[in-house]
Amino acid sequence: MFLEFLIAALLGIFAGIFTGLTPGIHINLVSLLVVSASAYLSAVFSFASLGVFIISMAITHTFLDTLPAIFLGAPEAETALSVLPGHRLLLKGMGYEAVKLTIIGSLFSLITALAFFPLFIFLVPRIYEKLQVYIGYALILIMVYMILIEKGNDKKFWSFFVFMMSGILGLIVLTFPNLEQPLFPLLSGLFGVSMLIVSLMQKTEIPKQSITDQIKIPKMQSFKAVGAATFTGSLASFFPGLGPAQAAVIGSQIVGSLENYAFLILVGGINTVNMAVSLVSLYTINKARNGAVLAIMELLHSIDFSILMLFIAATLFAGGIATFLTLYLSKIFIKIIEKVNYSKLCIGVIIFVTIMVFYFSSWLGLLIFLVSTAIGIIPNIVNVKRSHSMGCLILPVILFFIL
Amino acid sequence: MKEKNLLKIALICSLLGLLILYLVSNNIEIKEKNIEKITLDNKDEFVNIKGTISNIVNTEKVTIIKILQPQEITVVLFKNENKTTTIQQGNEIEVIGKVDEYEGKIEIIADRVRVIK
Repeated sequence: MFLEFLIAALLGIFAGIFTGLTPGIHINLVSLLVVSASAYLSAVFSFASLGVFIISMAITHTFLDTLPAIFLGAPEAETALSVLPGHRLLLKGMGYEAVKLTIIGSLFSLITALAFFPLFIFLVPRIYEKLQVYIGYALILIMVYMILIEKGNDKKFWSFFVFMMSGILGLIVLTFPNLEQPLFPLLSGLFGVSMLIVSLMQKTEIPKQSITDQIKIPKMQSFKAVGAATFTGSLASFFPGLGPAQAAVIGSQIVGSLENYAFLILVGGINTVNMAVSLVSLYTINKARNGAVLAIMELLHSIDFSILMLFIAATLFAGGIATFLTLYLSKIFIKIIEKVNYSKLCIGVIIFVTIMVFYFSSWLGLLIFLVSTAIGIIPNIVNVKRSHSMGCLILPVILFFIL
Repeated sequence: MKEKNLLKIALICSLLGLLILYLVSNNIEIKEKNIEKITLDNKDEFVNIKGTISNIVNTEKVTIIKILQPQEITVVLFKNENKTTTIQQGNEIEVIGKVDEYEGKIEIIADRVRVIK
């Protein structure tokens, strides 16, 4: 049995490398394939092993998906907010540090979250119903606060404008019938390609990247970032509609101003914590909060304590291995990015993402991609925070909770 | 933070994960339900059972399987493209399914069936 679980975990890690590094290939897609093929796969693997495969893949994915986000500007929902600070460090020759910070966030927040598992198991069934009522109002307060802290009436107006435009676009896209992978064109336009176009217009060049051994971060900032990542990442695991992207917005506001470094720790951590803690939701309230856990629920229906421990073991194992893998692969990314002309790389990524959008979401996806790219460029022109574009996911969630 | 320290922590995590995986894998089979412990109180609950097929009847829409553990229980498997698997008498199988009652007897409505050997 041990060997079977180990092989499943290693295969999951391998699949996580593939999904993490390829923009547009989400773990939900692979999880769905596993469930569809479970009748055949079960000839070799038990259902619990298939669960170990999915968890290992999902955790590895949360470590590795920062690489395309930081180096190529091709994010997913979970990494959208890491693009800007990550890219800023890349332009200073510190792309490797940016990746390492997200890894520090992922690994330390994962360990912290696992340490809090007994508390979560005790609290979640007791507070779940009570807190759900307030989530929508809390998000409104956070978004109003985010807009009001912009300096000057002009910037306040443009922040509100960007939030509402991206929010309305998000509402349309997320409620559109029969649209495959709606988030991919939406987020690639708002956070990825829009940034690449700005880089192209500004004739940005990537300086030589330094691979530093040591990162100096004020301890208080690191604690705040890991704490906020654990708290908000967990919160997003318990409540429907809240995802890592919304958690990142909440997290960055509740801890106050964070430096670029600490912010990357926060974003990296939330993503991983959200995936790990969603196992608690499955165990305690039998609810799936993301595609990977939904696939596990399809396979096993519910999990008992021994299966939860099995998944925690897979989470720790995959998290440790993914740390090595991400640091190693980011060095390869750096070698490539230094050799290639950055403008050509940007154009190549834009073409690649456009093809992927068309492949997954057809003409409608391309239209969404075009509109979201246009909205994504606005914050850069009017000089307001790009995070207001997260309205695309926040506004639908606010309406989900309030209406 | 030095990279060496980060990698040390990652290595400890992996080894700890591996150790827990080893310990859990040795105990996980205990958690499977014994047929004798399934009662009408478990109705509508999902259970995971393992046993040997003592009898199998195929109809157009369902496959009715008798599982021996040594106690016997009936497992009903609705034919569905995602769930069908080739099973024969004498196979040892794992079933995940919902406990149900039919004419006063307990049966399992199988959701997933896996041939172990």
